[in-house]
Amino acid sequence: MQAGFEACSALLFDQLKASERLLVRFEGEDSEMVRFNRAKVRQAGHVTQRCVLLTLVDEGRVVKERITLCESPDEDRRRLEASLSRLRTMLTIVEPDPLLCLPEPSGQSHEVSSSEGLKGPEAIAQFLQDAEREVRGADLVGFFHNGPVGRGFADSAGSMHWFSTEIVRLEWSHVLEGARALKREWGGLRWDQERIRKALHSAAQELPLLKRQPIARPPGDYRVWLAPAAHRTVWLLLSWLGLSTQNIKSGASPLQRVFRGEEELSPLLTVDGIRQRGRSPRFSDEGVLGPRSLRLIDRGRGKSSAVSLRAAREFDLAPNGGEETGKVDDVAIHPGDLPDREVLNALGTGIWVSNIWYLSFSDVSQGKVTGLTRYGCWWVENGVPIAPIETLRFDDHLRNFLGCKLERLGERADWVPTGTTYDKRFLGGCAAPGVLTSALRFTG
Amino acid sequence: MLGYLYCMLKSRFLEILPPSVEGASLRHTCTRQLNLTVQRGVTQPATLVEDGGALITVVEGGGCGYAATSDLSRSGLREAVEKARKWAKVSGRFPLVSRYPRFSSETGEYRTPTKRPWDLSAVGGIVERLHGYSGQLFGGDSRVIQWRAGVWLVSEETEWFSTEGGHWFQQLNYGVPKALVTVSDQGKIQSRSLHGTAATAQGGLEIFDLFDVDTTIPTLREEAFQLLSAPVCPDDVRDLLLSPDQMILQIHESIGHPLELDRILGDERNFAGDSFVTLEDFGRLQYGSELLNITFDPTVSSDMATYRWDDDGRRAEKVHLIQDGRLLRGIGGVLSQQRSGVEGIASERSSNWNRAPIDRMANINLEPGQESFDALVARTERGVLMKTNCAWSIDASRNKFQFGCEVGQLIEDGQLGALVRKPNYRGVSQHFWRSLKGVGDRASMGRFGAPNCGKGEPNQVIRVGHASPWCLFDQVQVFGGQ
Repeated sequence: MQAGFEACSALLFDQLKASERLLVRFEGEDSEMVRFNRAKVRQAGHVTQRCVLLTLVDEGRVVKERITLCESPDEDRRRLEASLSRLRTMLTIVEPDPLLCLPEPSGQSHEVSSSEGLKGPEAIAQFLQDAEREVRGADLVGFFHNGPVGRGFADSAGSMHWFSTEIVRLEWSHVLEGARALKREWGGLRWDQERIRKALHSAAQELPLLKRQPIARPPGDYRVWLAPAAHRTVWLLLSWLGLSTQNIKSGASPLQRVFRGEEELSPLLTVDGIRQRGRSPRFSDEGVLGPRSLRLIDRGRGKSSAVSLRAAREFDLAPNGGEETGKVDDVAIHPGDLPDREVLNALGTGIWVSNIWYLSFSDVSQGKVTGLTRYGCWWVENGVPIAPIETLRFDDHLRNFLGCKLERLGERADWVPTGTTYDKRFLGGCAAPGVLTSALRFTG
Repeated sequence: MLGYLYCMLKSRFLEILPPSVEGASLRHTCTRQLNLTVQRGVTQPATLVEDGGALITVVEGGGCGYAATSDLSRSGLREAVEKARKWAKVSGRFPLVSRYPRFSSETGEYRTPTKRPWDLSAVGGIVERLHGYSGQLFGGDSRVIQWRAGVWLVSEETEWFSTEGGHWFQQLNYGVPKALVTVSDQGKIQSRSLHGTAATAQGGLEIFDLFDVDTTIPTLREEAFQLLSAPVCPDDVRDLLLSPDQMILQIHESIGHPLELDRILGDERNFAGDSFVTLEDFGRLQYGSELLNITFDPTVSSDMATYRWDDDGRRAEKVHLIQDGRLLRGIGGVLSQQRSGVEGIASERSSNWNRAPIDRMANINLEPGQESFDALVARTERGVLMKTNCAWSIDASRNKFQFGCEVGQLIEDGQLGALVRKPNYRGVSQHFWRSLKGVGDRASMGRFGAPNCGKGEPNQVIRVGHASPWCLFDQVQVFGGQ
C-alpha cells in the first residue's frame, strides 16, 4: 500500500504547475471480515480497497476529489491524470476560498505496526471452538475483522507521512430467548486467545443471572453503574459531535455549554484526544501533526476543543490537529479510584448498566441525551445483582449524570478499538472507566 | 462509465471460475458524486468522487464467500475469486445455511428517467443557486449562528452477471438538497431545516423543484425565530398529527426495520438488534389499525430507492407488506425467504461494491387514505402537530421509541393553534400503529427518504425511500425537550 501511495503522489507532483499545490490523502485496507450467527458463519469474505483524496489548490481556489485506485499502474495513472484534469476544470469555476488554510510542511514520518498471532480462518475456528466449550445454552452472534489498514498524507510542499497497522477486532453476543444477551468486545494489535477465553469465561459466569426472570422497573431516577462499555458508547457519540470547534460554534455540539464555560461536568472527568502508536496516525486528515495527547476537558471544564485548519481560519484560533469532519477519533477518559471488586457495594441499590444503545439527543443544545439499556443490565439490591431488567429508556442531561450526580469513576479504563466499519475500517477507539452516578433519569 | 468494460469483465470472470464452483456472481458498481455546500456564506471546497469496484460471490463446497476488489484486471479478478473461494471453504466448515439459492438469471437494463442530468459544467450555476439560498437563510441577522445550503448528487451504474446466465445493467441517479438555519437569542437555540435529511429523490437537477426548495427556504429562518419565542411542547397525552417528513422516520424505525427477515432470523443481534416480530406473526399479526397499508414499491421512478433488480439480481415488484393492518410479508431477499419460510421482496442490497448484500429496506410506503389534511385537523379535539424529524431513538427490538421534531403546533377543537418548540413523543411500536385513526389522502402525500440508514456487520449505510400522507394517532405521550 505504501509503495502505491508514494508512487501516486510522485506521479501527480511531477505534473503540477508552478502555482499549484496538491495534497494527497490515502486510505487503504486488506480486510478479512466474518459475521456469525448461532455460532456458524453467516457471511465471510475479503475486502481490498485503495483510494486517494486529492486536494488541488491554485491561487486561493481549492477543489477535492476522491478516487478509487486498483493497483494496476497503467490504469491508476489514467485515473489520476483524469482526476487532475477534472480538478483543474473545477478550479476555473469556483471562487477563491476565504477560509482556505493549508498545513505547514511537516517533514516525514513512517509508522508501521503489524499484528501477531492467528489470522482469519484459524482465529475464527479457534474462537468458535472455545466459545462452544466455555459458554453453553446461548446463541453466539458476532463479527470479526482484521488485516492491514493504511493511511498516508503527502503534500507537494514537502510533507510525506505514512501509517499502517493491523488491528484485530472481535465482538460478540451470547443471546438467550427473548433477545436477552451479554456482549463482549475485544481488539488489539495481537491476537490474544487467553484474553478472549477470559472474556468467554466471564460471560459464562454471568449467564445464570441473565436467565432469571427480568424485572420491570418504573420510570424515575436511579443510582447507576455505567459499565465501561456503556460509558464508551457515550463518548463515542460525543466524539462525533461534541468536541470540535466548528460544532461548538455552530450550536451543534451537546457540550457547547461546557466549552463556553456556562456549565461543568464532574471535576472527576478529564478527557484527552489521543494519537497513540499503532492505533491511529499522528497526522490529521488535513496533514497536521497534532500532539500525541490533547487535553479536551480538564476536571469537568472545557479546556480545548479540536481545531481543524479550516476552523482555525474561520474562528481565528490555532489549529491543533482537529479533523475537518469534527470527529475526534481516539478519546481517553482518565480513570478514577473505584476497584472492580468494590463496584457492587458502592452501587448499593440501583441499576448496573452494561451497555447502552441508540443514543440520540432530545435537546442537543442543552446536552440532553436519550438512549436505552441493552445487553446484560441488572437490578442490584444492597450490592447483590438480583435479575436482568426489562429495557429501559433514559433521558437526562450530561451535566447531571456526568456532572453533579457523578460519584466515582472505575479504576480501569481499557482501550477498545472502534468497531465502526461504514465504507472502511475506522481507526481510533476509546478508553473509558465505569461511572457511578447517584441518579440517571429513566422514562420507562 | 461502464460501457466498454461490460463484455470484458463478464468474459474474464467466467473464464477464471474453476469447475468446482457451484455458482457465482459478480456485481460491478461505479459511482460519480458531487457534493457542494455553502456554509455561513462561504463556498466549501467542492468534492467529487469517482469510485468503482466489484463484489464477487462464490458458492462452493456447501459454503459461500465473497471478495471485493477494485482491481478488475485478469490477475485482480483471479485473486478475488481465490479469496472468495477460501472464505466459502471457511463458511462450509461452519455453515449457518444448508443450501444456497440458485443465482438469478434475470436480464435487462434500467435507467432512472432524468430530466436534467448534471455534469461539471453545471457546478457554477448550482453554486450560485446555493449562495442565493444561503443569503435567504442568513438574512443579515446576527442572531443566525449557523446557515448552510448544499446538494449531494450521485450517478451510480451497476452491471451484474451470474453463472446462471443472469446479466443486467442499471443506472440510478439521485440527489439530496439540504438546508439548515440555526438561530440563537437570549440563551435559546433553535434550528429549522429542509425536511431534516429526508429530501431525497432520484433524478438530476430537477430535484430542487421536486422539493419546492425555492419556496421553502425563504420560510425557514422566520419559522426558527417563531419557534424561539414559542413555549416548549407540553408534557401530556394527546392526539398526534404527524407530517410526511416525520412519518418517514416512524415508518422506517417501527415498521421497516422490525420486518427485516435477517433481523428476525437473528443475524443482527450483535449490532442492529432483533425484532419484536416473529416468523409466526406473518399472515396473522394485526400490526396496526385497518387504516394501515404498507407497500414495498419500486415503481415510482423518482422515489429514492427505486430499482429494477436488487443487488442479488432479483426483479423488484410492488407488493403489500401490511394490508388493512394485517402483516403479510417480510423485508427479505431470496436467501432469507428460504431460511425463514416467509414471503419477502427483492431487497438484498449493499451500500457499495465493497459490501456484501443483506436484507435492507427500499421504498417502504404508507398508502394514502381518504381524509384531507384539513379534515384531520378538524376532527382533532386536543392534539399536537409535529413536523420535520430531528432526533430518533428506538430499542434493539424495535419497540420502544422516542422521536423529536423541529416544529410543533397545538391543535385545539379542530383548529391549528400556537407553535410549540422542541416537540418529542414516545411510544411502543406494538401499540402505536393500532392507534392510527386517520390517514391523509393522496393530496397530502409527501415522498421522501433517508440517505443514511445504517445496519450490518461490516456496517453499511444505504438510501431508502418512504412516501406517506399526514397521519393522525390517538392519545400519544408527548413532551418537550427541556
